[in-house]
Amino acid sequence: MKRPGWISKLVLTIGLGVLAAIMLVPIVLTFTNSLMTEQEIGLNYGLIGQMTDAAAGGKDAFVNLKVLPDWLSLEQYLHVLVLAPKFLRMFWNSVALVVPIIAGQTAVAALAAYAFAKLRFFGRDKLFLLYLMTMLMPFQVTLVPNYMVVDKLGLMNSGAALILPGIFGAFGVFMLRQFMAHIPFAYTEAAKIDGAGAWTIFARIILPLAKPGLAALTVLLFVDYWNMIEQPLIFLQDASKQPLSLYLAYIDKEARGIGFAASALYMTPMVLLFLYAESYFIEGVQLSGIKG
Amino acid sequence: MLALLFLAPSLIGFAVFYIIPFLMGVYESFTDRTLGGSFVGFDNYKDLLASSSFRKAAANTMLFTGISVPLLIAASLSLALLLNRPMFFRNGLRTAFIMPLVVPVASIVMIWQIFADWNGTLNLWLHHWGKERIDWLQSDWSMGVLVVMYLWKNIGYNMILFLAGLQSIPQDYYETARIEGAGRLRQLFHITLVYLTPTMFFVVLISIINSFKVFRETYLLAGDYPYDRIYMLQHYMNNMFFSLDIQKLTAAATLMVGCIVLFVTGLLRAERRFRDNME
Amino acid sequence: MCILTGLLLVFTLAACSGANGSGNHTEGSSGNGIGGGDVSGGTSDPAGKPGKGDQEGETATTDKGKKTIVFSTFWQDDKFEEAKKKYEALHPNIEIKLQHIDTDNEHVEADLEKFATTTNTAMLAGKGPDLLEMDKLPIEDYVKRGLLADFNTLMEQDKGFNKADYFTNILDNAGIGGGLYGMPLSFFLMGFAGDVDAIAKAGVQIDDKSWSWEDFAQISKKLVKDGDYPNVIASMPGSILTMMVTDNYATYIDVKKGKASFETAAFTDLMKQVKTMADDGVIGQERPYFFPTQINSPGDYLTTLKGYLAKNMSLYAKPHTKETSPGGYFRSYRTIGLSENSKVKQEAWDFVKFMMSEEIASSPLSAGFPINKKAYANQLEELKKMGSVKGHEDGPLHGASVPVDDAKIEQLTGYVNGAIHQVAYQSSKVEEIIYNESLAFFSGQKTAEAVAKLIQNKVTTYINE
Repeated sequence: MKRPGWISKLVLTIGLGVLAAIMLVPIVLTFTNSLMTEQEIGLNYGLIGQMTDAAAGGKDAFVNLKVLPDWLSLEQYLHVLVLAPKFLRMFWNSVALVVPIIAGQTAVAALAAYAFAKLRFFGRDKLFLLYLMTMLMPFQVTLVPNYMVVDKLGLMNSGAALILPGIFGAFGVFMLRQFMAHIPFAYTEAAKIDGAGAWTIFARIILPLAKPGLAALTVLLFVDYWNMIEQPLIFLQDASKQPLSLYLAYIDKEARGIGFAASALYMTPMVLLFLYAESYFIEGVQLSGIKG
Repeated sequence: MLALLFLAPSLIGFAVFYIIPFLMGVYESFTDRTLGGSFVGFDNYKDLLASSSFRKAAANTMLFTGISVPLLIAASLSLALLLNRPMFFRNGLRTAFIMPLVVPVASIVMIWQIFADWNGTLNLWLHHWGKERIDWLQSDWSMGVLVVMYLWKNIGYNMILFLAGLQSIPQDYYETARIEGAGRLRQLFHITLVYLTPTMFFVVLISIINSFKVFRETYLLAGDYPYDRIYMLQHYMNNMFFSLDIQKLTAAATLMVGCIVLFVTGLLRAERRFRDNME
Repeated sequence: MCILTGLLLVFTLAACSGANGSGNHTEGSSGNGIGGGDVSGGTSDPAGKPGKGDQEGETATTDKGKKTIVFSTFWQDDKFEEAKKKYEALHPNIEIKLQHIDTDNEHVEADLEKFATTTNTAMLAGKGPDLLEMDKLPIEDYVKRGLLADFNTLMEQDKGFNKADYFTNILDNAGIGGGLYGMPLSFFLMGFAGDVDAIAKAGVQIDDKSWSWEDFAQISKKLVKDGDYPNVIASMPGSILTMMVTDNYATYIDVKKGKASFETAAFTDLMKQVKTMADDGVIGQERPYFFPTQINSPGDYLTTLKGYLAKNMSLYAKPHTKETSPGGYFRSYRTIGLSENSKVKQEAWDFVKFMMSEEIASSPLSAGFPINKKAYANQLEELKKMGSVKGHEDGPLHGASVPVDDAKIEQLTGYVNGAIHQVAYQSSKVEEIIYNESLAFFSGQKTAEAVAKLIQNKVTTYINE
């Protein structure tokens, strides 16, 4: 490949940089506005959802979009962290739910995905279609039957009511199957001729080659389960067990200031994970990736 | 048999937590009441199709999905291709595009309100230019607002998938192509897009599923009875859930899943052709 | 993964015992039904009886012959706590499990939605509570799906139950869909508090038994023109419009045909008429003749009617259509539903009866007129003994006392016995839509036609679902 000149690199960087900056606006706003006092939030955004009297100058009344606060304040954070210690507990609950789900689903799904992608068996594509169909069913429909199942298994009000379904989700199977489908048959055929069994092929050839998929799966699973709302709401009635996503799922219009601060705290671990995962996984994978 | 060993762990849990609830849901759509109702055939479906609100919701959903999913896929694929090329701060830029994924719903809703409210920033700008206000979420603009929100939120998601897919394509394919004198465009269509087929299949389906998930933001922004244009199947089903009308809810969902499955079967067939080519 | 789960378990156990130090301890993963506030909310029985059943997640397990009634409410309510304690003392073989949502003021709206989601799911799965407080739940939908038992049947079958002991005007009119699916343990009176002297002085005659909204509009014109006060009613134009539409529901909405008629000249004219009323001062807060009001208790009746700074105030029925039979308005409060699928139906009904009885005495100042006539009479006795009622410190009376006046009490009893029209506890979807959308018109931000179109679309969607 010809080495592209630094000019084309620069153009690309600037173009994408501008686009990225636009994408980041809501995040930047969340962080900066979380440093405002409740009073300043009220002054700037109090008009949201209001219908001001047009006769009394309401025609000129608008929200005041403010990027930087007039007065830096940690008031909202104090409110979230000190006055609502449940925030920290919920944060920990989220971690305790998401980590086992990611570990479990990745492992279980990798095995199943291998079967779907590389092995032949009767009814393979039909069974796979069934996996896909369950992903399409809206939660409102499966909520009640799920409730019955969880209740029958005696899992109600325990983390297992979320972790077990999480581990067996179809998403990972689907995603990894697609990534394994990329791997040319030539690779596995060669190993087979050398006398390698299915397990050896899976562990020695397929898994390393599916690394980009596994890395992406980790990130996406994290996003999905960190943000889950309905299942914990129904299956964890005990407020002391509920994850952080429930704290922010429903936020009252009056509590905007707290909403910003809580959102900022909520985002921080994910931002850090992404920064870490980005440099570690994707780049790492690229170096050790498929050389053919 | 060998396959069964690999499948078993997944299959057991999957049957308990997904297949059983799924089948129960489908079964409910053929009964006349929750819990021990009797079988009524397609009565619920008849009621459902007789509901003009359901038809409106279905049409809106199809329109929204039909516009936003192709747009999203085109945008995220271009982005992934560009970000796969050398540039400065590439890692930082990649991370920037996936950041919207981490923003919690509450924050998204607050920010979008600041912009799209009747008294919001967008209308302030219109006001500066001497234009009338627009009620963004209560006019034909509302669909546009949702499409933008959906693109913003999911572009990073798909980009991750495409990047991972791109890196799974063996580099020697390109080497060979270059030796044979294939140009950039030829490489794109004959190698990149062809070998992305499995990824593409996945991305298309996940994008459809994610397009349904915009409901949460829409719901918080515009309530359970939003403007006509953005009243979607998810609103319909959610309202049915809250009025405990499980019959219409399950029938609507089954119908929706049925339609998508038809579409998916087509995709699966296309994918099988690709796999056969590879073998 | 094991370590994490283990840590989580330790953590939750610590949290449980911290919140509920009485040693009556629920295992980390047991508990059942919805709400679950019994673990962290400290509502469990402090006596810590041994052999506490219900570890299996069943709604009604019999553990050593003991039956459990699960009772789910949105708020924690001392009144129910008291009833539970008294009832359990009288019936040692029954355990009442109270569940409620842990909510704080910042999340009420959100928690209401959570409450509805969890309760709906549990009820549909057949695992719901035996008794539910229906105030915050869509009772009509529950009735439509056959999830609630009809109290009329239970009352008829129960020989020991004498309906005449209760306010039959309420019991007979609190029904939904041909049955009494929610038992109102108490109720409020609804109406307009009107300044009798000022109205008389303006030379206006009001017959609140039969006045329609047209009459109200006529009278309002005269009051503003000839009377001393600048305003007629302390309200918002949106509320008046909503009341006017709901009173003429059939004119605007044909549910059978799924047709709404809001994009009509009739409706836009009505909106404009209400706007004119607001512009002319008919609707305004400055110094009105009428205040829409809710009377919560005998004590509240005295203070409310004095609270609006006029000496001689009286309760009027709100304007209504000619077809409406004359009578006052009430709103049920602490309405209890009994699950049709409950395995302890008779026991639950007995507990409801207990909560309706005079044994659950309440102060004449606490919210809600009791459904039991004797309990109401007792409240009046107590009120007379008190001699006077102190107004709210931060209310219009600034803590001043109002003397208990026999004539006023007599009048109140008349209202209590004459209330026959039910006002729903929550506003309906249609009311919400009309109120919210019309705000833009009354503030002058949108035209009547634009607003009418939005209302038309949304209501059409709603009634055709």
